[in-house]
Amino acid sequence: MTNIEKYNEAFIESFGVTEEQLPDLAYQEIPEWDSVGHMQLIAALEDAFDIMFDTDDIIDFSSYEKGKEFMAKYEVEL
Amino acid sequence: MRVLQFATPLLASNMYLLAEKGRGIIIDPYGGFIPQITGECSGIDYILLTHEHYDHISGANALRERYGCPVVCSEACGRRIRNSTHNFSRYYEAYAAIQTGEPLPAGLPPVAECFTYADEVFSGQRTLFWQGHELVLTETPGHSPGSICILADETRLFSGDTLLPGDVTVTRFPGGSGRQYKEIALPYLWELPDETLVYPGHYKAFPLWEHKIKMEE
Repeated sequence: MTNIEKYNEAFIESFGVTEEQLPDLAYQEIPEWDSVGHMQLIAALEDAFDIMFDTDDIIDFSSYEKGKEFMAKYEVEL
Repeated sequence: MRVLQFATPLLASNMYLLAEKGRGIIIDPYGGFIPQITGECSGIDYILLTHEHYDHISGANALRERYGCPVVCSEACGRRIRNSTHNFSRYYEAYAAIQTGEPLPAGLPPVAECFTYADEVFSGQRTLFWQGHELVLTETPGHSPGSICILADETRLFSGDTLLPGDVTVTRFPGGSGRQYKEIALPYLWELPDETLVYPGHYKAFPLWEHKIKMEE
């Protein structure tokens, strides 16, 4: 599985969305991406890439696209 | 037996103090209430954890050291409180900020990298006899793998986050399980008498029948 596939899979597994929904996905845009869902997503990404997000990055991880910037910060190439 | 409820600054999670004849049991410890505990009890015999999440365990180390009593929880909880990812403390500041829209209140101890350990763990069920009272600790996973409920004298239930007033129990946290909640926790709750008074992990106490009516709707 490539990194982008693993990244997408974390969203799909956490929120039960389709791949087509991903580009527009943002915090609180769907009921599943609430504060609890956000923690699910963060845990899934940390597991998938063996990284540990900083607190500020967890707070600012506000959308599918924005999240890609944070993955780069943790040296994950998507 | 007196039951005292203290709402902590950590998402208003409840710490409970059971007091009898000058002795006490603490459920879900928070370190900021030592003066109130000292005012009620000369000593504490047990610290019980309803589950492993940070807002319910943050005072375990401080209160164990202060009172020299064992921390008791389920085996799964005992494993997970040793890990700051599994006990959620590493995420706690971010989670609180996201949920409340505000940073943690000033003066709180740092939450990152919180570890603790259990002195006694159990699987399934354990009964404590204390000061003439019976406390039955039962595993009720679902909200988290280590969740338990504590039934005191067959009449009062300390439910942790397994049962909250008016809320559908959250099973979506990492490690949570809707299937386990339906198959293990719910049948347990359903079998308890309607008049059982529930002392939840957040908010105020309520009679179990209120929740059963909602479950039937």
